[in-house]
Amino acid sequence: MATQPDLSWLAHLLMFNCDTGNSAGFLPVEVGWVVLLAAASGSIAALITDWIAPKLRSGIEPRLAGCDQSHQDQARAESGCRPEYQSIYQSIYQSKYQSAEAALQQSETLNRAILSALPDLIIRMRRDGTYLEIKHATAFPSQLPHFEVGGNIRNVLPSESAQRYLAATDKALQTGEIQIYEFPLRVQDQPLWQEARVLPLHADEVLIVVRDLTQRQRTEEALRRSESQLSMAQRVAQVGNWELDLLTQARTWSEATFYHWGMDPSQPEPSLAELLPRVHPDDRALFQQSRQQAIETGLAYSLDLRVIHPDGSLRYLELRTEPILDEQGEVVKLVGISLDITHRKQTEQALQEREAMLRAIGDNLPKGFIYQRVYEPGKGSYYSYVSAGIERLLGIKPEAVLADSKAIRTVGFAEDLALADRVVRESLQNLSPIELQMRNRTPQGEIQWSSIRSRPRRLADGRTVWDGVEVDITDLKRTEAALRASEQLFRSAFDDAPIGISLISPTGQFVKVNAYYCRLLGYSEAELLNLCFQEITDPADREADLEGLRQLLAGEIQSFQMQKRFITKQGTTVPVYLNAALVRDQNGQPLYSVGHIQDIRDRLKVERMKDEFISVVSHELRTPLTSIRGALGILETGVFDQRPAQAQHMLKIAINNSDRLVRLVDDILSLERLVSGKVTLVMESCQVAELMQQAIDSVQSLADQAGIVLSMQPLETELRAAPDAIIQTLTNLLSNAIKFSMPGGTVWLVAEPQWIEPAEGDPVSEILFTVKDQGRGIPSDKLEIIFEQFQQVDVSDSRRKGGTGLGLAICKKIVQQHDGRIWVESQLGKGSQFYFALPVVGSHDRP
Amino acid sequence: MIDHKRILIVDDEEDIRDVVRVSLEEFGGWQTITAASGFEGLQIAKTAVLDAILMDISMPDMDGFQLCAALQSDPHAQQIPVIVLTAKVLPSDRQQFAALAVAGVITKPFDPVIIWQQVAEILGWSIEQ
Repeated sequence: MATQPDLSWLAHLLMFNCDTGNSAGFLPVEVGWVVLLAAASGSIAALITDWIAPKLRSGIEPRLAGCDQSHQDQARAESGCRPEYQSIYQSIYQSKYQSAEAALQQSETLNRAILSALPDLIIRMRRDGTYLEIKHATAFPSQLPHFEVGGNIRNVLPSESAQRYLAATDKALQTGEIQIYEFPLRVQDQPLWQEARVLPLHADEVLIVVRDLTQRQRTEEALRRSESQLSMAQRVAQVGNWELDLLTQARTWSEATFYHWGMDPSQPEPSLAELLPRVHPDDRALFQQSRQQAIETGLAYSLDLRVIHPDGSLRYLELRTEPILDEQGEVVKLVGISLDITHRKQTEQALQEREAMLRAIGDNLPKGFIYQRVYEPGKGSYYSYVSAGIERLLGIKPEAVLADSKAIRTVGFAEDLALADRVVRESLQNLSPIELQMRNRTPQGEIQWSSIRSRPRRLADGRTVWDGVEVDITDLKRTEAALRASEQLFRSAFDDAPIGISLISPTGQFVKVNAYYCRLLGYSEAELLNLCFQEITDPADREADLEGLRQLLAGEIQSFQMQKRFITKQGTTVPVYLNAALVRDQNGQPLYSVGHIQDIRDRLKVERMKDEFISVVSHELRTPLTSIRGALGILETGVFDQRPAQAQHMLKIAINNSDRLVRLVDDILSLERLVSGKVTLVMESCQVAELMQQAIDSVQSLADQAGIVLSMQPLETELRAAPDAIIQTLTNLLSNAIKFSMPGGTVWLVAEPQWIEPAEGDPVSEILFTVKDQGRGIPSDKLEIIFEQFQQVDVSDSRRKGGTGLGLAICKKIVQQHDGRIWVESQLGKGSQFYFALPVVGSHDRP
Repeated sequence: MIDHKRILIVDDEEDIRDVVRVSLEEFGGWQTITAASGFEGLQIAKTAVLDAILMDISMPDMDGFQLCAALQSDPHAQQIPVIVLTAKVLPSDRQQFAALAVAGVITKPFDPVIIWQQVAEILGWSIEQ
């Protein structure tokens, strides 16, 4: 490299050490040092001061000392050159034997001109500080007081600076060596950074060359700052830069590049072979291929590369490479940057995973979908995302909704959509959350319920975004409906129950009562809710009721039952059967007692009737027994042994009453069988006239005894009936008629067909039987009850006439089992007519 | 034999009247008067000299309760002790007798040999064999 075209500035300080004793045969010089300052621009100029030149003789051996570092830096800073430094050393010394004097003289003018062009302040000064000569320089102030030849440095510079110079002068003169200092100087309030070189000239004089470094200092400062900023920027951006000179294979890597590849920046840049193992095996081929292509074709490339660091960690690098071409279009260099994008890649991956997760959730919602709806001013509403579940739920493809948001409206109901539109408008205006329940028509034509929830966000660009979810709540709706129905059912069960139901607080206050309760007690609901049960309970039952409630509350019993009496609003007493239990809350605290009350007035009446019946039967059985027991007891004593007529009378009493007892037992049993339905009457076709004749025959002797005439008007027709039962009925009626007729009277038995027209349905054909007597008749108030058990018109009659008091009750039961009717018409003193009518069933029913 | 007591028997059942009559006369040695209804019994009680009335409860027209009330309202008859002779023996029946102003109750059927003793015991009469 003999020359360097862009080398604009070069300064060399050539120092020739002219050791007097060293160069044999050479003329000794007075000074041990000769400084030759050379400055040139594009060429070499030698500077030889006029005061050095005469001293030089000839034959000075030049020795190249080279540039020290400070000169390199200065040169670089001032020239703005790239950091590469190349030194060109050039001997300026043409011949050591040329006549120095002559040369100096020839070049004196030139030298002076050059000297004056130097930016340095050059002073010749005596040891005592007296200026002997001064060459001013623009960088230094020249108007300082006493700064002139003959002036003294002590009077020019501040004493501290002056002392520095004088000390340096002494040292230079003592050692014979150049003294170089850099120090700041403040002159006329101007900061100066100067470099002073103090050269010993001879015994008492020094040459001081002062160079202004202020500018250099500032430039270096700026450079340092710039480099620091660049480095910081690169560190912050994690940008590494590198270049590869293809000719020299020289590589230059920035520190960050080393780190990106997991390499030590203190080591030399690695070769491609060293680099490749760091590349992820899957990326190696691409990396090499791209690189090779760039070299061959000059195409820039950008590559995301996975790099494995020595610690095994995987890093992502983004490489951008730009080939540099020479004038012939050949690629001579690759320059590039690398960027660690691991974090970005990880973030991207996390984002992708998050998106995939979101999509999976949306697509896998069992009965629903998620969506993002956007409102864009000037553009309107559209869906930016709809998960796959929409197809399962609504039968609409997500793509259809993404393409046209109205697609989703096709399955909705007009009134629901109108409501939804209003809610969305409000949400757009107030950013209020959306909560809707809407109906949709499924592809199967069923109604499906959806719950829609979303929350709006307003984006910086003015768009409004709703992230929402729509899920199927049809089952919930069904359950709700079922629950409502169930509640309705329960409410009606409570309200319409045929028993009184009440809820009572632990103190006895009515909390809730149903309609029956109100009706039974004669109070309105509002009136009852202002009362305690104690207030309307019969005082006689109050204690027992309160005790039951106390035991319930104490947990001693689960429920209690009692018969009690309430006093109605009207003041009457209502007997009820109470069943009470306690309802507790989830903590076991009593809430209220539930009471069921049943009106037992009817039941008590039935019980009373039953008691009365038993009492009557008991009485009716005991009565003949009394006679039998008494008569037999008397006979047993033998008291009538000697009085046969009396004894006979007693026996007759016993026998008669025994017969009566048998009849009574028979009647009781027949009636019981008829009433309980244990014996079903067997219907068969009968000749009515035959039935009548048999009945007449069975009572004929009774009639004869009583002197009664029987008159029969037979009917020759058929009847479907239980013959024995009909004969029994006729016999009972006939014997009653005979018993209650006066001797010589007549009893008639008549049967006749008749048609009756009921209020509803077709006319019915009947056979009407009539038993008529001329007896004493029946009081009108007894006409109904004589058909009940033991309800004889006259109790003593039955005894006297041998009746049991059950005959008419048995007749009534038999007629009822034939779907017939029985009644009596009577006139006191004139006689009675007992009627019973049996329906004639159709011929097809005949056997 | 004890004193010849005079007893009024009121019963609508003829057979029972006969048996009671025979029992009191033959074994108690007392005199008896019989009545077949409450009305008849009341008429007799108002005037006759009687030591006791033995009466049935279940009778037509005027039953034992009505007869009791009627006897109580008669100055003469109210002095006569009354014993109920009845086939009504259930507890529900007995409750009704408690309200009656009667000396005692004898239930049917009765033992004809000892009924006179039962009457004497109820009325506190001494029995001398």
